[in-house]
Amino acid sequence: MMPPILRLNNVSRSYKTRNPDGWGSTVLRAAADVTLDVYEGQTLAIVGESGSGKSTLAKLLLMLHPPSSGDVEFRGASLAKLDKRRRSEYRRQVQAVFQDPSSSLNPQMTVEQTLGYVVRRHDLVSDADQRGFLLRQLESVGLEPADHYLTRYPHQLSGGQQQRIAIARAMMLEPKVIIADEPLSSLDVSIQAQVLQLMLDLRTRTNVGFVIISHDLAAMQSIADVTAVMYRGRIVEIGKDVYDKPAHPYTRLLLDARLASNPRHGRIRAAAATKTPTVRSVRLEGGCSFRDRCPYAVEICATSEPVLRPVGAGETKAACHRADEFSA
Amino acid sequence: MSTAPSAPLLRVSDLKVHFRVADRLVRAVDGVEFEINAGECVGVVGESGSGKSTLVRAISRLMPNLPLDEVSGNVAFEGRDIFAMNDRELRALRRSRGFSMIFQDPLGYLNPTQRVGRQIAEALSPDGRGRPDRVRVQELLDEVGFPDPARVARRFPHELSGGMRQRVMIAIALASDPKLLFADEPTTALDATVQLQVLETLYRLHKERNMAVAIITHDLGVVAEMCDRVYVMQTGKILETASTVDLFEKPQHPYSARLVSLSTHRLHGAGGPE
Amino acid sequence: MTELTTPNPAQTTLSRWRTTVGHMMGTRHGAIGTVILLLLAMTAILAPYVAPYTPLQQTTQSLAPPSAAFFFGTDNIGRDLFSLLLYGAQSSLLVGLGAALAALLVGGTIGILAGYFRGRVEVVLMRVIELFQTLPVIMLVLCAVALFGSSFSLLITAVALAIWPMEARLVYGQYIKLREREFIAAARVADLSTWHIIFREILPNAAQPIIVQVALDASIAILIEAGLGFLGLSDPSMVSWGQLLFVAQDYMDSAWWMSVFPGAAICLTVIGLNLFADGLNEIVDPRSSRGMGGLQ
Repeated sequence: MMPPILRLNNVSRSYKTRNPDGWGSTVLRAAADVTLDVYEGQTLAIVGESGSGKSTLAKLLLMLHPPSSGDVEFRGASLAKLDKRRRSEYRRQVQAVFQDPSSSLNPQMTVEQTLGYVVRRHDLVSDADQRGFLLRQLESVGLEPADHYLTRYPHQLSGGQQQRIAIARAMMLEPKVIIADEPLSSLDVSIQAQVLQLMLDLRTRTNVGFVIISHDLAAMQSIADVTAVMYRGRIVEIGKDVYDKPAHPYTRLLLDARLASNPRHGRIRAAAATKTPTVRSVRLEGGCSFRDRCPYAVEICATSEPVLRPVGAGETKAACHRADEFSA
Repeated sequence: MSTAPSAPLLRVSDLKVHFRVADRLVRAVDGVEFEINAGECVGVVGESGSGKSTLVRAISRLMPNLPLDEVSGNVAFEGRDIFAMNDRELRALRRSRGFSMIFQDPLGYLNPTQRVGRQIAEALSPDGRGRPDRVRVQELLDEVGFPDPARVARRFPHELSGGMRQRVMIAIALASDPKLLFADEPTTALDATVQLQVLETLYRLHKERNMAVAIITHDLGVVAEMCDRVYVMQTGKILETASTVDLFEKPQHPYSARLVSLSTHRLHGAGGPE
Repeated sequence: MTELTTPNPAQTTLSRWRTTVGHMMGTRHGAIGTVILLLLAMTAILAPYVAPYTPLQQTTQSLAPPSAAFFFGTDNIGRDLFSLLLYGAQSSLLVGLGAALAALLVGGTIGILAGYFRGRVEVVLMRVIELFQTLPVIMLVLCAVALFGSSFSLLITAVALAIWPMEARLVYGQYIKLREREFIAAARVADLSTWHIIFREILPNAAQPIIVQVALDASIAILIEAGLGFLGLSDPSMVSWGQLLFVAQDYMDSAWWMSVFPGAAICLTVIGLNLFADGLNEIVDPRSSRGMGGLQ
């Protein structure tokens, strides 16, 4: 296998916030000791709930935030130390699509302006060819007739059309990998399916890799090659078939929380009349950070922090002391 | 109950809500027929722009602040015409044994400067007369699944997580002991694990109180888990109404069929016209 | 989804300006404010052609009440008050605009630096802004006038010093808010230059409240200028409304017209600028009026 294009090497990112009383500050670790490889042509899904730090990983990979410790590497070189030429290469090869397409396009610019600035910055084509180039780009993300869209402002387009423009902006640089932070969550279900299909098409056509940050396990199951599950800033499980054979109790919890797609198999109706108490999340010192919600927690979980390690014979890795018992 | 058992709790006939936005006529709700029976759980499914939120807002007479072009039709709650009610009658209906509503974003509806206990107490006696009934407040908080009601009552909304806030909203909605609860995308903003808990709570309350629930959602999973019957909405019109099982197994309208297949297999049916 | 007529690319910039002006005249405040400001600007420009007398020309009648010969009467040394007011419009508007633009330049630069770059730059610049907000500007101007004598450019500098922190805070706030938007992250990922991000991506989105603030600043500047003139600190070689009020103090009981007309002129200008700012505020940007607004 080729060496990874992007690599998080033991990366942590913490945010300092002043306490409400004004005395001292609290350090929040949005990402803690994360090691992760991103390969060209591969689709890596990072799933987790809000606050799990998955968006922080996207920002780190895109160099929008510097890591607090550890290294983010592009083809073996630390992002912080890239020279001008390598940096420009990085910016072309690693692109992004954001969550809210209405916010990721400048409201004051037409589609042509938004895309045109990028074309000129990277000298993609000569000024004379620019219009034709942009038209081809729009067609390749399924916006036809393309000239109809060039003069539009973002607010004149639907969410799905906006997201296609955002994808065109990323694809036009012919990147090796696109980091997509919740690219579907602000779209309607039927539009989600179309955008997902577009991403699949682009992958087969150009062999572009994706890192997709999402809370939607069902959508990721249909597209991901590898899935990483995050909980409280850590990757708790990573592997190819976490959906069918979850090794970490948290992954299992997430999978169990999916709603039924068949009314005959609905669990809520079946299990009605039991009072489910809310779980009070507390920041835990030491040990496994999932143990307060974990039905299988034992003594060792409170004292020793589990590290990500291979489980069973497969390629799955999980950070759980008892992972082997479950997957057996 | 004064109504005959066969009459529905809520009957909406030929409801139209038309807005004028920047010289364009928007038929947000366009001739909708809609019914909910006592103790029933009904889903209203549609994508954004289908008019599903406007529908419930029109029914409960909470209209957005927009130039209305036309609101017409008939909305009868236990046989009484809601559109013909004056403010006092409407308030009485909202205050006791009528209908309540919860929304996607509880933070927008909770007062940030008041403790949640007080806000529930106010819902119990909206005229502000009488002592805040602490016992009732704690009973309600207990009913929506808080293990420590007394503590939660002393919290401010911003000190609670999204799921807890939604439970507080439900408690406030229950204060009037409603016969019908409208839930507008109640779990859309919540994490999956929390969504499941809140839906379970809603379903339990629906059964325990024999309270009719109308869930407005874009997520067929919510419908599959909760609802007895579904209305499918698109561009202001009801396309199909069926029992939940029928909708999933033999959808009549092609649009419903597409929604169902999308919720089952995420990629199936993609590529159609936008 | 939404079908709209395709705008012709060549006309967009021009037509957007035209619609802005159109919207402005559609609001009551904006229309009244714009008309007042246009009239004042014409007055200032045309003063030499329409004024019956030059500002320094003395007539034989001093303290004459308003009449057909002297519309607004004459002052204590026999100058025609109507002509003085027309010429005064020049200096008042120049001070107002000059100081507001100077404040925009200084405040805007500092606001952008603090708001976009954050970090240590932000901490230092915000302290500087606070320092200037606490300085007793009028006292400083008094000292400066005592040291260097009064001049027009000193006046503009002094007024600009007094108002730039407000402008800086506003620009700072806009940049803080907008730099977190996703289109800025997208621009950074596309490797667009910092210069491009600050001026092409953020500035057009921040422009509207900034323009409103400039209009309000101009009215404050005119008031400060009038105040300084009233204290006798204006440039003696120029006519200004504040200066006229300063002279009028001694004749309050004998010649009411000397104080009433300059006072009314200041009022009218300040009201005009505020109405103009109100109008700008009322024009909702094209997004919400063309789009679906708050309807889901």
